[in-house]
Amino acid sequence: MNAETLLYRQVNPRWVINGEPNSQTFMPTRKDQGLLSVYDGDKIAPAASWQHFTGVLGYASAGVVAVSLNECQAQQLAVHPDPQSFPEHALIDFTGLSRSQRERKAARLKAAAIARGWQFRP
Amino acid sequence: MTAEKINLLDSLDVPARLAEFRDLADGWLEGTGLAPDPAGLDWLAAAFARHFPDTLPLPHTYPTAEGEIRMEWTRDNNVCILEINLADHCGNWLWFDQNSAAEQERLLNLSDPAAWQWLAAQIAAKCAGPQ
Repeated sequence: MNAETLLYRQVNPRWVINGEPNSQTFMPTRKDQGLLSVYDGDKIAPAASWQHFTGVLGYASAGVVAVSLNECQAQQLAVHPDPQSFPEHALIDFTGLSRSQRERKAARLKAAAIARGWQFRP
Repeated sequence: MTAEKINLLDSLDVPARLAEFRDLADGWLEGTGLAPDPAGLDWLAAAFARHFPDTLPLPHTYPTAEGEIRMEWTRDNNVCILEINLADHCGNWLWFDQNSAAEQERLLNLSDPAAWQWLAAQIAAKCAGPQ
């Protein structure tokens, strides 16, 4: 990974209104223990990540959006490769943040992803 | 009003949005999302219709992984978030200004009309008015 590496995030269909994902898309849930799952764009293309997420893992996705490693680092969010789950898996680290800190950073990641546009839609 | 704006308003209609969530089943979010309680959705739809002024901007409404409902209002630098527990009717409020450290958190008892009045006042102050 380098600063320009894109990190692909799957968007749940229930978290889209008028074609825009919400900021929950860019924030770990309570069960995620502060770690947000993404695909490492150096290792997989957006369409292939969607195929893996929906076909192999069996989850719902309305499409794929992306933030760069640089955009995460600008929010003081570390990114860790996590090949134990599957080879292209990575985690954006929100651990130790307050609710408002998580929300602020997720809002900025959402803005960056929306500006970049959908990377894949089925 | 343009067709695009009408479509936007339709997609923000809160009771209609909440009705869409009735078909969610446990596991809807990556195998683990909890489905919102249907009786809780009915309560929230009725409470919102009764207490939230129709002169104020509508929120974007979403289900959460924990079976709660999340409402979001944004305008300029202001972000307002209300996460609503359908079992105890508590609302977890957060406002922040994206361009400063200003923020506010508050727990609301949404069984109390006074909490809705407080919410409406916050939305009017932070997220209403012409763009």
